[in-house]
Amino acid sequence: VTRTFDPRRWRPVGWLLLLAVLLIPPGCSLSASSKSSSDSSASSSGSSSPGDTAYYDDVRSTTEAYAKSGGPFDAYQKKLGDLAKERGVTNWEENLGTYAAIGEGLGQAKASQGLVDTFKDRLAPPSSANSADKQSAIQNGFESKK
Amino acid sequence: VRRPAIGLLGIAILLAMSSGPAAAAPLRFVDYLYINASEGSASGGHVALRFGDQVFHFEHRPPGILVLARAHFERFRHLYGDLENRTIQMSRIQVSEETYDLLLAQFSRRHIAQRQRLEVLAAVRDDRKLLEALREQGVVAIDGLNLFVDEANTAGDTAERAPALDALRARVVARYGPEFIADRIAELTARLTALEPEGPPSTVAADDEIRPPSYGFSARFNDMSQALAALDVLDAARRLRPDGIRSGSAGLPLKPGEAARLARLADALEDSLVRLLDTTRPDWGLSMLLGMARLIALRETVETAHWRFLDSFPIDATVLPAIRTSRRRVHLTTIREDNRLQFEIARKSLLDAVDVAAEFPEIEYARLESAANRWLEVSQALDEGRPLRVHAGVLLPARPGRPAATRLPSYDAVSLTRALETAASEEARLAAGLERDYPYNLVTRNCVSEIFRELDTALARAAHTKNEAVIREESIRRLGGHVAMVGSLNFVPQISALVVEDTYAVADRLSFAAYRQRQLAEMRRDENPVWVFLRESNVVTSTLYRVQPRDSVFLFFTDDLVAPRPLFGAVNLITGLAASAVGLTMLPVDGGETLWAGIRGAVFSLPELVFQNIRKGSFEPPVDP
Repeated sequence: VTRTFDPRRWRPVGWLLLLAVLLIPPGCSLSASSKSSSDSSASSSGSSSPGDTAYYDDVRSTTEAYAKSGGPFDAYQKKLGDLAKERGVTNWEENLGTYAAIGEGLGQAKASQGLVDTFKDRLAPPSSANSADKQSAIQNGFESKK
Repeated sequence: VRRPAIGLLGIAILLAMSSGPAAAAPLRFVDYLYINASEGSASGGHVALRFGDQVFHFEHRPPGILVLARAHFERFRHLYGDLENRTIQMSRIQVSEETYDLLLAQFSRRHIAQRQRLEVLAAVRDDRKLLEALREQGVVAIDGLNLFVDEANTAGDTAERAPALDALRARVVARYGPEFIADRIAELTARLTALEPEGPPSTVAADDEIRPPSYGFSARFNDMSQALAALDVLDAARRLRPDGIRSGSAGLPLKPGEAARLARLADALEDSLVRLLDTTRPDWGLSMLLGMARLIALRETVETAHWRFLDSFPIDATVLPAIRTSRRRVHLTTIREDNRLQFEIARKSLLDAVDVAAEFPEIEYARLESAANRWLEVSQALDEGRPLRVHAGVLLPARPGRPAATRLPSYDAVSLTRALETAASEEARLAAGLERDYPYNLVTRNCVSEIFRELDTALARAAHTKNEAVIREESIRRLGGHVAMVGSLNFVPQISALVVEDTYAVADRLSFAAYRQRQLAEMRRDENPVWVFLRESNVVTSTLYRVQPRDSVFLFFTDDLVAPRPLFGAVNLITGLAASAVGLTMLPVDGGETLWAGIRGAVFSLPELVFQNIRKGSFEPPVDP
């Protein structure tokens, strides 16, 4: 008897394989933080770097949210401190880029010039160091996004 | 002949002018990203939405909620494209500037609102933990305090005082007066004692409502305690703990001219710390503690002419045992060289900043400190056989330490117990609220469905309606089509990518090849392709792949091959089954690790028998592209 390939004989196997594929759940990714640590984390270039651009994104979005929601100013300052710490910065008050990002956040929130002036007075009062530069950074950031 | 031609040109110009406003309207792209399948948690693939350099995507997080994460595209591509070796396909949907802003605002709002709710839960959890600790006095830890020796080691002994902090203290006294430190300590102690452990219950916000920031009991307690600790350290001019500083086994000598610039840097830091004591921000304590520790390290660097850095690794850093590092010597040697280069780049950047910056360039200094720590850590693992600490996040030296008992206020026991009960029930309520509002479901609430749900929410907001037909029309007008989820297979990431291609106004397509594919293409350019194929097709002889603990057991890669996929898949299946059998015998030794890897190896070989590929293998590229 000559044996020939008969696709019909293999059909049940095919269905079983297809079922196996379908049974593998089409899930979404788990969070990056839940993935295991590996040697790549030992690499400087494969790890988070202090003061990366995400810090300024966070400052922008947090300021935008605060301009819309309001609330205690010290809670907002605390929030800025937490964001900075997450990105390896502790003395955010002496980082001009932070002030520019605050201004941009106010611009994104379509804040009034009065509110911008309040932020300038509270975060960079005339008696503080480098006050003019900080106020100017807030204003320029605001102008760029309003 | 000429006149009709000129006439046609004129008509063309007029037509172009008449379509001017529409054509001139600025156009942007919203990019739909499909990340192909991989074994483990993402066997159906993953999707994301990109706006410029920002990527939004829904992650499945414990205890079963969907969280909208935001990441920079390059970081996202590195994570999925390099480490997970997955190809990212991008469909570029052309939209108007207004639609771009509308959609970006929706995803940003949802991201912030959800993050706020997660933060409120975290704050309440911190409250509960602190209240538990306060009930058992002495177990409260203050970040940054353990950078310095204990109070008992410095009391009254001038030789044990840190000269850098003595000098700083003199500056503070000169600027603010001799009673300043004592007055601030008294004021902070009074405020800390007056803190009310039991705060008002937080209100759970609606789905995308942005709430005012909160500043609860534990956060205020920690900030005041850190400030008190900083003043204590300054007053006693405490030295750094010997194990909190590192300089490399052979030392890192300064180059000619560096000492003078670093002295200026230390002066700038000292100025900055004097100013910090005048701040209105409530959380200045940690900044002061860390700044003082860095000041000591910098002064000692200048004095000894060798770099000295604070140990930046967190106490919960992952520790890889020495045996593992010795097995991976070649790979780690490459990482060490990369880290050394990063150190040199950061060193130059810091010294350049010293020349131009009027204030202490903290970011540049932190980058150098971080690069030095990673370089020295790998060097010591390789040269001295030490266990290797790794940490993917930012390195910030903030070792927690216990404050003196006299610095802990004694709150009323009844009040503490009542506050603890409130915090515990609040924590449960908030956690339940998150699970209720952001549930994960494989079919109805997953990474795909939520993206389209947010798109519809944005469109409904723009059209001021909840009418589905109107939302659909709005979607067609703005995006070129509408993707519905109900009653379809669109919840499967790969299918959703095909549907987006067919439905929306996709103007362009891009593909970001997975790490292995890119490396193979480069190898084929430089070497004989047949030889590259033979060598790199399997995990045994591959020069690109190192067996990863998170990967299943397999022999052949099948992600770049279609025709021989069933054959290779059959071999992979046998390999997985064999590994499972071995794993059974090793069960008492490895706790089932090999058995589970073998079973997964066999399961993920099955699709390969029918020409499908899921498993890609994960990689550890030595250098971030």
